[in-house]
Amino acid sequence: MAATKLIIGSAPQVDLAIASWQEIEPDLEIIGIRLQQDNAYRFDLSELDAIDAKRCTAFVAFDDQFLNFRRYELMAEIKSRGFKMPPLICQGTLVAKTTKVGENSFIGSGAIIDHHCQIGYNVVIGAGTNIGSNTVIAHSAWIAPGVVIGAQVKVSANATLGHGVIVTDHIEIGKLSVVDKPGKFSQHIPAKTFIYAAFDEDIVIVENRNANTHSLS
Amino acid sequence: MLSKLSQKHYIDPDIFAKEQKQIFSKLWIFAGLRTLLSEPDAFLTRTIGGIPILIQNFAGEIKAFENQCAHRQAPLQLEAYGQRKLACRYHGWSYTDDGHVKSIPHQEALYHFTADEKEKLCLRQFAIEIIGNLIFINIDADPLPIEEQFTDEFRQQLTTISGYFSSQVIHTSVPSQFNWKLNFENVLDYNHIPFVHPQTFKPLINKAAISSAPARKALPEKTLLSSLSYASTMEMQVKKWPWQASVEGFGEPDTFHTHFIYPNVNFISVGGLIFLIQQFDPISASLTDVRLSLMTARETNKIRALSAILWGYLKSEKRVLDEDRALLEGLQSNLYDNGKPSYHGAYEVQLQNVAEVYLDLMETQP
Ligand code: FES
Ligand SMILES: [Fe+2]
Repeated sequence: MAATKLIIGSAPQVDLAIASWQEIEPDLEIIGIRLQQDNAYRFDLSELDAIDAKRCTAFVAFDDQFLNFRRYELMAEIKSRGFKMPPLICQGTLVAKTTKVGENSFIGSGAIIDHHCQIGYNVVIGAGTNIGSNTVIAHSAWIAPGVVIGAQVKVSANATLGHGVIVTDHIEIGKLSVVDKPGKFSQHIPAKTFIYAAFDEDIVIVENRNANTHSLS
Repeated sequence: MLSKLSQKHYIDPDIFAKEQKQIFSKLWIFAGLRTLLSEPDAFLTRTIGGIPILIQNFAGEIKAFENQCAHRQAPLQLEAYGQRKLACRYHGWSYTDDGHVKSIPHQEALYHFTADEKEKLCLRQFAIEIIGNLIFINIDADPLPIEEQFTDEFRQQLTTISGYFSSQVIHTSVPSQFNWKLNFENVLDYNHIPFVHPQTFKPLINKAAISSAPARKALPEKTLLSSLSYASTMEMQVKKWPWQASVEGFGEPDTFHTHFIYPNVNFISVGGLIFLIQQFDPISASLTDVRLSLMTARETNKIRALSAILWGYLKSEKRVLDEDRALLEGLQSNLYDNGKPSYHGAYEVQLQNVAEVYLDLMETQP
């Protein structure tokens, strides 16, 4: 007997995940939980208190808010309640047998992922994305539909690749970076760099670890 | 009344070249944040008054040098921000912390410099003043005493507020097709806010910014350079951010702070929680890089999503800036040589003061 599936998150993502899951497992009983955020961005998860984690599996479907931190936190919250969170690999994907996909990851219809890739947990890979062999996509990354990623690429944790991005072989995209400007990227992108169509120049976060040791005057 | 500046002042390349000499090479110019230079050999680079400059931490002391090798002009530091010893990548010369050449690889075999020659090879050093966490430099050989540009009171205000800066800063530069003076005038002109920013900025301000304008000033009174840089505050409904309990904010809540730092900086703070420094960096008569540095107040507890907060906030500031930019670029593109000067009302007294001091500075004989 198939267990019940809880799909938890923001409305459009939840609707997409429900439709996708129905396609691959038509007999699955699915409960969608569409969360509201208060103005401190907190979620009300009280609906889950009555649900027995042993009898259900769960999937968090949420957008890239706060550089994917909100989806990450929501997943951590659900997991700590004891739910199993298998990935959602939509119909019509071609994921090579030697490629591993982590918990709560989403792989959209028509995506092609070649051999020996590692897709971490909580990753979102949009429909029709193409990923070359031996590529690593670290946890909580967000890849928009149709993005093309070469072989032996590393997309680091919480990174976001927007529409129209092509990443060539051997490139590394740093942690928390956003590349949201159509075009081909053949150079490493450091952590916390934001390349965004609305800005002419790259945006960087500069940080000095020792600075906090200064005291206030 | 008619502005003292003509349209030519905003478009003429000769006037621009003169400004680089008489203003940006004479006054104290904001150059960067002390918070980013805490570690030994941390540096930043930029161009001021047309001169490439590096500012670096030498064993705790912050110094400014010309960023050009004494050998064949290669830049000594390349990146905008970094951490590296002072040495040239072209032929490997290295420098001491007073800007003298320390070592020249293959000196005996290839260069044959005398001890005297070697002693003379050094980098031009610039005067530096650190006000709280704000670094100012002056590239004049005989720099203006800082108190002639910024009053004691204003320097004290800057020291206090900048002491609250977090050390994580998001930075970008927005190339804009207008003269730098237009942007400084624009930030002084509070009356544009409801018209140019009806959605983005106006709703944040509690009361209408329109109180009645000051009376026209008595004409013969001479405007002091130091009167152009000052702080002001305004009441504002500051949104409650989920992270604000994790930082130590500055000042009263629900306050919007503005600091006008002549000639080309506007430094604001929303509620003492978010700080934004905007600098209008002159590139040519009709091109300005608007440099944005944004940070939160210093963290008392680690904020995991700080990068996301900075990024989100920068995006919203950019929307406000783009509204100004669209307007100012349109204005600039319409200017012509013999066009009429602006016509100011009473509320624009500060624009007149700025013009008066500007013309004084431009006419001062070196
Ligand atoms: S130019 Fe710097 S060492 Fe030659
Ligand atoms: Fe504005």
